[in-house]
Parts: sequence; C-alpha cells; structure tokens
Amino acid sequence: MGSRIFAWLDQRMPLSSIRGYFSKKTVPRHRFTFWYYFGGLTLFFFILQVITGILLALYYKPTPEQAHESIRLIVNEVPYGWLIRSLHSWSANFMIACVFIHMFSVFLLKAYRKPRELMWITGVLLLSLSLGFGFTGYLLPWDTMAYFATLIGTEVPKTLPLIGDWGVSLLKGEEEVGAETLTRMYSIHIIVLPLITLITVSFHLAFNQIFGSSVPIGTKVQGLPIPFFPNFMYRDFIAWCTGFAALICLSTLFPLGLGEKADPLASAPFGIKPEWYFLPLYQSLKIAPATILSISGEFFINLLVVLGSLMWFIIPFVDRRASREQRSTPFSVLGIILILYIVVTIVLAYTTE
Amino acid sequence: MQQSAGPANKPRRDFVSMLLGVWGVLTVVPFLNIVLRYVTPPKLNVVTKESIRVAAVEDIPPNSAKIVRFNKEPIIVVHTTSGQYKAFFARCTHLGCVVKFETEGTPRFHCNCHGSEFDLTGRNLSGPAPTPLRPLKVSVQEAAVIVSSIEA
Amino acid sequence: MKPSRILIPLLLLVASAVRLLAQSADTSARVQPSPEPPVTPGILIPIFEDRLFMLLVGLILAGGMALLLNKKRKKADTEALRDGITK
Repeated sequence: MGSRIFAWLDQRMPLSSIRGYFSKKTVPRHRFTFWYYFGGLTLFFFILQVITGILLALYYKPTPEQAHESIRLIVNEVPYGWLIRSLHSWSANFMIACVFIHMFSVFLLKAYRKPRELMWITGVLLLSLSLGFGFTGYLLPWDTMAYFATLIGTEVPKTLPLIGDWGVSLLKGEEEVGAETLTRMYSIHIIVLPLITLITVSFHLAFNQIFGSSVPIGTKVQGLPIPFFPNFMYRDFIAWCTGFAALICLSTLFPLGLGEKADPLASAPFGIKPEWYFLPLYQSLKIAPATILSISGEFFINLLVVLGSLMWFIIPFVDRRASREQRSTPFSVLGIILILYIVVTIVLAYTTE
Repeated sequence: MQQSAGPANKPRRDFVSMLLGVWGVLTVVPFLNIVLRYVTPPKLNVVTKESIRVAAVEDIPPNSAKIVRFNKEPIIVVHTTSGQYKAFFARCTHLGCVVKFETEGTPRFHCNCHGSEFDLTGRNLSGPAPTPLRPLKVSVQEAAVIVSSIEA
Repeated sequence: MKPSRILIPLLLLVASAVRLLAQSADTSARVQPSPEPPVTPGILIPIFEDRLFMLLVGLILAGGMALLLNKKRKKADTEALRDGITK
C-alpha cells in the first residue's frame, strides 16, 4: 500500500529523484563511527522539546501572578501534565548533554575541516541556541530558584564593555527581573529561538546530506561504508529508542517538582546555582581572583569566554593543519583540556559551596 | 535496491515490516491517548459563593446600574426610580453579550450587539433575544446591596 | 489463510487492550486536588505505582520498537552485504 501511495505522489512530485538523491548517502565505517549517533540524538530530543513545549504552552500563563499557578495546574489538574512537564525538563538536559558530546566528538575527530566549515559554524550556533533555550526556559516556572538564577544570570553579562548593559536590558525588559523579563524570556523561548533554530537546523542537516560524515585523519576505514538509507537510519532510530528509554526512566522516577512562588523581596536562597550547563562559567567566576593583570577578575573571565567563543566559531579556519588533512595535535589537546575543565568545574560546583 | 513493484506483481509482504507497522500503531495509540487527554480542558473545582456584597447603598444612585461578577458570571444590579433594587444575569439571552442599563426613555436593559431590549422585570421586549434575563435575589443589609442566587 | 489476516486484527485488539489499561491507570483520577481552591498547595506528583506503570509502558514500547528495528537493520545489512560489491 505504501508503494501505491508513493507511486501516486511520484507522478505529482519528483519523489523518485529525491529518494535517489538521499539513497546515495553513506556513512563511513571505522572505530569512531559510534560517535555519529549523537547528532541525530540531539535532533530527536529537540523534536521532543517542540512537542512537549507546545503542549505546555496550551496551559502556561506568562505573568508573574499566574505563571507559578499555571504550572501547578498542569501538574495537579491536567491529565498527564506531570509527565509532559517532566519530559520537557529532562529532555532539555538530555538535548544539551548530547549537543556537547556531539560538538566535542566532532571537534576531536576534526570533522570541521574543509569542506565542512559551515557545518561546524551552524553547529556551534545550534549549541548557543540550545543554551539560550535553557536559559530562557528556566525562568518560566517563576519559582524561587528560577527567579534568582535569572537574577544572577542577567548580572553576569553586564561586565562586558559596550554591549553588556544594553544586552542585559534587552533580556530583562526593565530594571528588576519582573513581568517584562518574563514576557521577553517567554517570547524568545517559544518564537524567536525556535524560528532561528529551525532555519539553522535545516542548513546543518542539508550540509550533512551533501557532505556526509568525515573520516578522522589517519583513521583506518573498515570495509565499505554503511548506506544511510535504510541501514544507518535504522541504527539511528534504535539509538533514538534507547535515548527515549533513558528519558522516560528519569522523567517517571525523578519527576520535576516546583519550588515556592518567587518572592522578589526575599533574600537569595542558600546554595543557589544555575543549571549544570552554566556551571563551568559560574564556577570559573567564583574561583577567579579579584584582579588578574590589574583588571577585574570577573571581567577577565567574561572577556575570555567571549573571545574564546568567537574563536570557537572559526576553529576550522584557525586549525590550518587539519584543513590540509594533517594531524594537528595541539587542537586535540585543547579539546581534551576543555572537556576536562568543564567536567571538573561542574563537579567542583556541586561538591563545594 | 529492491523497489516494490506496481500492482501487477506484489512482492510477498515482509513479516518484520508488518510487525513494525503494527508496533508503530501500538506506540502511537497511548501517545495519542495521552495528548488527547492532556489537551482536553480539565474540570476544575470552582468554589461557588451563595451571595455577594455588590456595593454600598450610596454607590448605586437611583436610576443607575452596576455590573459586577457573581461566581465568574457578569450580573447587573439596578436601583430603580421607585427605590427598588433588582439584579439579573447580565448576559443577553441571544448570544451572550453583556447588556447595559438604558436610561434614555423608559428605563430598560439594552443589548448593543443585536438590539435586544428587556424591561426591568427582565422580560424580553424586542429584538432577537428569545427568553427573559434570569433574575437574582437582592436585599439591602447594613447599608449594602446584597445579591444572592434564587435557590439559596 | 494468510497469517497477516489473523495477526493484524489480533494485534489491533491487543493495542486497544493496552489503551484501555492505560486509561484505567489514569493518574489524574487518583490525584485528589484539595476541595477549596488553594493558593499554592504544592505539587501533587502521582504515586510511585502510577509512574512505574508509565515507565514500564514506555520501556516496553521503546524496547519493542528497538528490537523490531534491529531485525530490519540486520536484514538490510545482509542485503547490502550481498549487493556490497555493486553498491
């Protein structure tokens, strides 16, 4: 029956040629092929976020007076509301974890080298958008943790020269974190970021279709490549099932709660920290000495982060040896140091006060 | 790559593919169940009040009316020229627009949406409204106008 | 009689049974909201058994899907291997 539908459509759209084009894509087989799954997994969790996000948006009310209560309504009164909300929150964590794993595996495999530079740039952009989703979404429940995490989070960029204050005012919408902030965070979270992400993902996937996955420099290819359609696609889907299994475990066994409604006049609670994916920055700012090279330590770290991020975007053009298909160990070392730094700062942030 | 042929010679259906299709349906069913239950508005416990204090006596001068909410419904409370207080559910019985108290000419209720008119007993006089406005019980206690539902 | 003619209705029956089961374990009926509209009574997370049921349903569906996909994958792999030289 499927073939009849296909034949009907094929007479009205160029489906055969599209299928022919996609059927040519292959995935190289080597000892690092395992890492290829994390891009698709990120996409899977993103799709879940869109679905659960739309469902949550049916009931959520983005004002300081109603936000907290609307979440309470979702969890307490709406059938399966607790599940949708838990899935949304956990899937966010899974998605960001996968996007980091995907990025670092691509970095270490040097898949950013020519001609895949634009794949890398769109990819780093997608990482930034994911973090943006996490940051804007975190405020929405309007509980104590969310409120103060946002308060702190919007103070940090202020130290940046020129754009710092203005950038923060764009996010906050007013002097204090309040109703204007919530409206802005919400509209950024459900309209601005999704639109930009959709466009960027389309480009990212198109590049992936055109160029396929690269083989790491000096890695031995094991036999013929795996055809993407349908062989690797089945593998991809199996990975998605596994990802979903992990997600449903955590969502049902550790469902998300809700703190007390935010009281802007209350003092910040003890031990407040941002979500784990912002902890490297948070911990760096905490351990930074007051002054470094006679400039404020905080400003130094922020500057480092901004410059580092900008350089990260253009890594394919900086790592010249890789583009010439030569081993470039310094960049691999840089990548490993970064990964270790991130892991250590996250562990430190959780184990120290 | 094997393409499925046209209707002339259908290849034997692959058992696993069929099983996969069925399992897909099996998966979609609970998912749809969850989504459909979720999007259907839940019945919420709403505490209904039996009566409310509308306003102080001096807040509704003679030949004027006040519209307030009574258990989420808009009601209109009128102080007639003869000194009586009357209260009705303010939704026009035609299509639900909130009526207003018209003092030009005979005091009556007028609906701006389609021109229905009601007299001060709630009876529908003209326009498309099919039935009268539902009345409520009004009393004056301690210099305040109290409205309560008739059943109370 | 083709096996699919029995199997498909049978499996659809099973699907309906699962759906009925899922409905009867509907957690929203078990979670009792307090009678008066509270200001913020806190979050009422469904009891462990209900969440466990949801977990099992999810794991069975995802697991079954993975197993079937794996079967398809193996078949596609042997086919590709067979045509490997020409591909």
